[in-house]
Amino acid sequence: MKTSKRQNFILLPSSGSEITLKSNPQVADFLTTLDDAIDFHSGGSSAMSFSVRNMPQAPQEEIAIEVIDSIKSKGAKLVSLDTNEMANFRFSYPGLRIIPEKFYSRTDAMQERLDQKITAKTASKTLDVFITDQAATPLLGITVIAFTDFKLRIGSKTRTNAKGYAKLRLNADKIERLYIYPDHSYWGVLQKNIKTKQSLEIKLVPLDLGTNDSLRHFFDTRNFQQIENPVKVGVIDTGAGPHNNLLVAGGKNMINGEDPDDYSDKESHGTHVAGIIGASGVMPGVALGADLHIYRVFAVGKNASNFDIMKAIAQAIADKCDLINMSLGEKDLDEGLISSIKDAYNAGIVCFAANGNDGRQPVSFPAAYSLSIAVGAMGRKGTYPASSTQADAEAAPYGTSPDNYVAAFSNIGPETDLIAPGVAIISTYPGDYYAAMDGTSMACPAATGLAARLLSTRADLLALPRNQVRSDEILKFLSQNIQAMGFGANFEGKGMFHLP
Amino acid sequence: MNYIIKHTGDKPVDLKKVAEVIRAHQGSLIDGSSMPSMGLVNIAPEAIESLKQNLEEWQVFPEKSYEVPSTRKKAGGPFGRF
Repeated sequence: MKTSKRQNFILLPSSGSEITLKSNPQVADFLTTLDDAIDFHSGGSSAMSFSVRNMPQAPQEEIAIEVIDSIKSKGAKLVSLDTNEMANFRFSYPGLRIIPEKFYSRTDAMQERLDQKITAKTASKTLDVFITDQAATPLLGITVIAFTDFKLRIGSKTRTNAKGYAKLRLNADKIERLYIYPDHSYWGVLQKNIKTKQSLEIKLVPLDLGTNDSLRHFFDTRNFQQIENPVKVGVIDTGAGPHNNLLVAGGKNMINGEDPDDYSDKESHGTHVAGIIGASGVMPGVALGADLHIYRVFAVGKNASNFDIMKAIAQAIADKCDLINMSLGEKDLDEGLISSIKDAYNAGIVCFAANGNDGRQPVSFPAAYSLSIAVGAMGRKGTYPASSTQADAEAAPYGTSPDNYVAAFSNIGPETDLIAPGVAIISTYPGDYYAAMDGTSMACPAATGLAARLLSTRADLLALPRNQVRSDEILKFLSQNIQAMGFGANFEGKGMFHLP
Repeated sequence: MNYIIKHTGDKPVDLKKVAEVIRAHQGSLIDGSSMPSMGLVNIAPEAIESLKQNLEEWQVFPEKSYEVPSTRKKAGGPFGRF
């Protein structure tokens, strides 16, 4: 059920604070119209309604906007609008930055967070976990995490040895939650409220590449044709491949001190993300045939510098990418990255970013930035084993189909533009493996890839000069192919891409 | 601390002058692979305002780090964080 909540936003042109008729006449006209609407003499704001463009399914819809203040006729506007209409507004009036009005409080000292620290001496027992495949063959390198107090996040973590054993040190008689995470090839396991014995034996269920995960439930990628016209998709991540079913057109390692020509993936995240977009083989990506350009910004085990991400965006602009995928994020805004996303938008490139996985927390940056497309994650019951770790992601709200839900980990908020499958997604893993992963990191490339597939049908848009108008037109076109899933705008923005 | 310098102007960049300004602020260019459009500079935070004033047509941003969002549960407590 949608609840109406109005909020103040600042409308700005995509770059700078004022626009000229020459640079973008449509946006200039729109800002002037808003300026004309203000009746300063009556000392108040002015309510207006604007039509929602390019929505054949609801041509009568209008967005009610209250214009509160203005800086110059073609400059910034302070408006109030319903947060449920944010995604509609963004897609209907591309080329505008929509920034929430913020208020700053005094910088009073905040309390330091104190985690409960218990020394290793308090470990009172051990538990041997023996992990095998269905044929009882021991599995090496499986991550096992046991929580004795889940709320306080007190627990133990280890990995299985060559004999399939993992020894956990515990401080209680009961394990509240036991998570088992294979890196690839098998489903994970979640068990709750286990009385600790001396040992526990668990057989992992292998991934069945012939069945549909939640992505292939909605999009039958095995029967998709190659995309019609080449679309270049930049993937800013840990690198990608090598994998027999992942063809990469080009890329660059942006990390200072590493070989610029080595953009292979030393971990796994980027390979999985890239496969969702453009893998071939038994689990094809949604945009098979897209030109994947991989920009490696994460050194092994480390976070990515905004400088490396900015370099990656600059390289994607130089490489003439059409779309950029960023399955990464952090809490605070970053003016440096904002300036690069603006550069991309002004070069005709649309950036997609993951909402973040903090569990219903505000949308992470750069997804929260108004010129990015923010993507949340949804799941579908029945597309993974009931005993798998993925079952932990099931949570309200449920959609128009009761089997669809917004993943419990997905961040939410009015900045959300789209939702896409992001629970138990099976995709490529380095070493020619496949893995099931969860996250808005997976939902984001699903949306980016679908955008690439849709865009590939529009050679006219791809041929436009590379400027802000191109980005505007791409967004307008994409907005005609989005379907609400029944979760509400705060969770899903405008909804999920659908293919004609 | 590391800062990103990003060129914003239309005039050609005088790299020699940029290097002199950075050196005059006891800073060093630690990643020049994207020059003349961008660079990563290591410099003391107290020198940054002066650097900004002396580098015309350059924007200056602090370096930050981003993580891959993970949905795996994290444990704290007796056996350390991971």
